[in-house]
Amino acid sequence: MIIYSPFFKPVFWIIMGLLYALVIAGAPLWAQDLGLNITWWKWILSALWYGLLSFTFAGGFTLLGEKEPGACDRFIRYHMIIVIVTGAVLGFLIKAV
Amino acid sequence: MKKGLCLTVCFLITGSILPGLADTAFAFDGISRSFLKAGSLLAAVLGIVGISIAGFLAGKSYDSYTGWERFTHGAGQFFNREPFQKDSPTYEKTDQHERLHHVDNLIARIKSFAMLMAPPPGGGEPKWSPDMGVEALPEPLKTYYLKDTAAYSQTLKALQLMQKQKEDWSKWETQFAIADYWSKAFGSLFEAAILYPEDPKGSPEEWDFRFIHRKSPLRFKSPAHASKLIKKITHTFGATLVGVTKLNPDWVYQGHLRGVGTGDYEVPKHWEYAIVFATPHEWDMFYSNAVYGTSFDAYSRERIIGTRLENFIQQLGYPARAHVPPMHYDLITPPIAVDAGLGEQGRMGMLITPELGANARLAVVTTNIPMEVDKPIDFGVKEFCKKCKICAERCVTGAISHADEPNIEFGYKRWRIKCELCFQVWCSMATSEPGRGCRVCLAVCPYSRKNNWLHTLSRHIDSRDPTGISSSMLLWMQKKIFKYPEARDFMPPPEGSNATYHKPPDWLVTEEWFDVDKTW
Ligand code: SF4
Ligand code: SF4
Repeated sequence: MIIYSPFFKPVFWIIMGLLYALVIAGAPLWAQDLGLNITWWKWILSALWYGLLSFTFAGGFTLLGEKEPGACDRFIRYHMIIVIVTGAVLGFLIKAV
Repeated sequence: MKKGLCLTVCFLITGSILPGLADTAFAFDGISRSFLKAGSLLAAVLGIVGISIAGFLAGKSYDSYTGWERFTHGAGQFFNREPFQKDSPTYEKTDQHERLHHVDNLIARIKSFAMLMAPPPGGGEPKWSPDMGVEALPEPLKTYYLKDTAAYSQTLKALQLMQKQKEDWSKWETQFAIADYWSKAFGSLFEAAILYPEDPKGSPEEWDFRFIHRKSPLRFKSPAHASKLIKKITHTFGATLVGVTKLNPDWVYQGHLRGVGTGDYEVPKHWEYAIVFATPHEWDMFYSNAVYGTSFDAYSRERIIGTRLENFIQQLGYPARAHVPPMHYDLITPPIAVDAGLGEQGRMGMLITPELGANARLAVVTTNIPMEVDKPIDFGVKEFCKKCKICAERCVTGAISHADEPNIEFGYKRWRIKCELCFQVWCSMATSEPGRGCRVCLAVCPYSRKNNWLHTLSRHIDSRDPTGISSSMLLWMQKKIFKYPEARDFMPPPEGSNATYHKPPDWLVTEEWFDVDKTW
């Protein structure tokens, strides 16, 4: 199976790293274009929120991989509630503070 | 760790190969061009260092040992037990503790019944039949069942169910053909004619020394060396987890000794230490308990490891005896594994380990090699079990206690299992024989999840949180997110629907591969 390939596995993570690096490089440009004043703690909160979103889907799909489609569905739904609520709070903080 | 390394490497590569892109982005922030250039040169050098480290680790990883995956070198025992070590095990010992009796072992009792109820080899009447009553049973069965009359009637019911199971098997044989034949293929390694390891004959003072050819034992540099080598060797023989402890004589059955028979025996002097090892069942099969499951895959692996280890130790010049499943033991294994720090005993009576959860089948080799022993651990199982009770809720016959606190048995605190009720389920499942068992309690246990990042993370958080908040949260999520069949559904129709916790893997499903009329 390709996911066990000694070549594919590290290359996959390298590509993932490149993607994250691009996200990090592009985020300040977005902030400037949108006219947001993002301080260091707002960056940290944003990164944590992005981590939570990633966790939600990574966790859900891990369960799917484990042949637990129902658990995948419920895991993503429960976590999305938290993601949406924290996302709204974060959006408010970024704009208002 | 590997992922972290890969991510670091790619960040460094990004820094070196994207200076043009970065120039635009960073220059925008006012960072000087020469700083970026020096940084990218440094990143290029670090990138080479990083990729070299990644290559080194990839080359070293047991994941690349195809056919001899990492567990064979002990990498499957990845949980750092040190922070959880305690001076005494999490089961509590009272002043009235006592040595177990062989008749306390259900399988030994059932074996006795089978022998009593079978016609003698030369023909004639069986020695006992149910209509003769409990009074006609030989000792120690008679005293045992006179004390526990409920267990007696439950055993009789199990014997009736066993008969019915045999008669009903033709209804299920095609549907569960692969699962049954797969199980029997593993079981063929411990049929009486080809038993590995061989069952003892004669006293332990002879049998446990039979392969010793050296004039004197090969002396280890230190007990630490002995323990380390024995563990490494046991891993190479196929064990996923290995621990070493001094043997508590209370765990050795009294009233019977293999090779010698029934009687009162002291624990042999050379059974000073116990090497206890665990292997898991095939995971997909394990989750499709009971009808697609078996215990025999792990049993046969344990027996092979036991055979090899017994032989290896005796070649070193030390006595050794393997105690292996399904019933070739002179002792009880889960508390020995608890003493050796492999895990803790769960509500359902089985060992729960940090790496395998309850998917850990055990065997022991007793010896007198002076070894450094492991300490017991407390990674939160007992407290979790008090709240969880999932196994008790899914057990068809209520064999598992629902009590909040453990009871006292043989002077030790543990949740009591009503073995006869459990055995009734074994005799009722749509399987070819009771020996195929049930194991639903093991499969549904939240600790028995595979070691992907999600479950490993949960277990790490739970075991490190002394407040119990995370265990309550995880348990809440477990009950909300995972759905289990109702207990009765695990039974065959009309009572249930032959339900399984997970869908069986395709390789156990007959209709996926064979041209059969699907009537189920
Ligand atoms: S299912 Fe729950 S109560 Fe039962 S052994 Fe596992 S953790 Fe303990
Ligand atoms: S093996 Fe089955 S019957 Fe026995 S205790 Fe576990 S769930 Fe109950």
